[in-house]
Amino acid sequence: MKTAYVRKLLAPVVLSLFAVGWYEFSVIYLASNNQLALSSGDLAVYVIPQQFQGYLTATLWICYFVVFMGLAMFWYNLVNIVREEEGGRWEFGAIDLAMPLAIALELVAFFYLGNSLIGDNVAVRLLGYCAVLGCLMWFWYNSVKYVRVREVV
Amino acid sequence: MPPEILQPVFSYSWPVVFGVFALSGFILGWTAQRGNYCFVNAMTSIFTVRSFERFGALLILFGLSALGCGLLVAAGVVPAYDQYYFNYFAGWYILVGSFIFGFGAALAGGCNLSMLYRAASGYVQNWIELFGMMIGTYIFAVGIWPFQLYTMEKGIFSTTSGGYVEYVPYLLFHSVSGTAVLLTSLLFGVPLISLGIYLQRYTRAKWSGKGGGFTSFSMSLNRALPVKSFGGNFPSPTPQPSGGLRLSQEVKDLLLLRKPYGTNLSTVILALDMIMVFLIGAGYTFNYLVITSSDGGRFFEYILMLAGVHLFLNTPWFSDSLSIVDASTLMVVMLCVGAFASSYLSGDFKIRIPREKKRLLIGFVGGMLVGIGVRMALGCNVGLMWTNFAQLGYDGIIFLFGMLGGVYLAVKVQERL
Repeated sequence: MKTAYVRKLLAPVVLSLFAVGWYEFSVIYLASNNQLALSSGDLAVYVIPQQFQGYLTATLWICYFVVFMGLAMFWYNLVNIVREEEGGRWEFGAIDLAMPLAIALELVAFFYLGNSLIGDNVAVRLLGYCAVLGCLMWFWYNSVKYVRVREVV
Repeated sequence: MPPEILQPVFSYSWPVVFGVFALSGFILGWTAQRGNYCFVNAMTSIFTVRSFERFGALLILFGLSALGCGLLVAAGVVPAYDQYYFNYFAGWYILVGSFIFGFGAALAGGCNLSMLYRAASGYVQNWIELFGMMIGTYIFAVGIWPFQLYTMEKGIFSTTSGGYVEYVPYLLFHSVSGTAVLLTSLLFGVPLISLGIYLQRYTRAKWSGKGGGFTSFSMSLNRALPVKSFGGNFPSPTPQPSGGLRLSQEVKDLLLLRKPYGTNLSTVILALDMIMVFLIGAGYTFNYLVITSSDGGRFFEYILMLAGVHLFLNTPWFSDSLSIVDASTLMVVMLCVGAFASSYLSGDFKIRIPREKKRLLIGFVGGMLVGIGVRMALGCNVGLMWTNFAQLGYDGIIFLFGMLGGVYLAVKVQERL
């Protein structure tokens, strides 16, 4: 595989992992160090709970955004690379575009209906989020592919 | 005595405030990367190719920021105390620090802003510079800060407080009324913008008169001069669009990242970014763009936290000047994300290792000087110089001249290396 392809595919994945890592670092290390600053009486370092919670919430939003952006970039480049490798000749229709969305909606409906059963089970919920996210990425992949094919035609 | 009570102007939850600062960081990183915006390169180009185009853009940026923020205060949208509340002390350390900063940044190949966006675009030399800056911050904290703090407390070549004491409307009119702020912001904004435009026109006129056109002349100069001495990022003045190019095509190219942003477009976006943060953050936190205190000190502290070392427990400056997180933390992180996204989507992203390995060492030493300089000056080219123009203070003016001196010295040293 060409090094340029590796760079194009690896960089957004690293970006997404960085976002997750940053959030986890904030939750684990910064929260505990904030408490340490309070217990040692260092009020110049300590951040009040409302503000700190605000930081964590914003970081979580940003984490979602960056992960989504990173994965979108990953899929976009994957489409481009495959297209380049195949010489740009694809046959592709609207059904391919709609299918991932339909599956994603099915999954959402499934989890919505099964909400009372799942409760606070984080592992199951995480699995569900991943599945829906995967479908949305698939949709993104297909939509880019669709546009590209139309351009070629 | 003018009031010094910080109260939120608008009512938001903290996540929104942090989110807006993160967004502003993203815009800053994205725009600076697309416009190749670098304060140091704007200054080196004065001393090497006698080009004032980018320096003129800097003056326009300062002028627009002063005017925009000043008008918001004068119109009563933002109270005056939200403009001067975070004005720092002023003293010998700003002049000395900015000089060291200018020298180090020109050696290392980028100011604080360009260091971050270039690091995010794959420039290894700027990674090294960033690391050097962290070490420099630690050296400052242990070796310089206790002495500097002493002079600040005793008022030795230093003011003993900030706030309205350094607020130019108060200094000139002994008032922080809307009229005083309006007049001062006009006093700052109009000359700076006019001078910036004049310098840009002067440079264009000079270069177009050389024959062979502006762009070809800049290219020939870039070939002739030791470009690599400045990290290979030496600026060319922005090429002018040809008359036949349609505006819509221009906009399309910019949106699709086919073309970099022009200097003045970047300037306007950055000024609007500053004004957005000034407005939204008023009363909550330091409502200006700031990137130094975070990337130099805080991230070094964060790295050491992973190893179980807590600088804030026993190290000067870390224990009395740096909260564990603030809005600028996310601003810096998102600046890097924005710069990465921009460089990656436009195809600029690439891991670039300098051919000459000594550039890495120079980058590290320059980064250390940057770390020491910005901490001495209580801020960098963004967090102190640019911000202070928006604050209608005078520290930014001191910083500007100190930095110009440092850059000039670095240019002379580089010519002999």
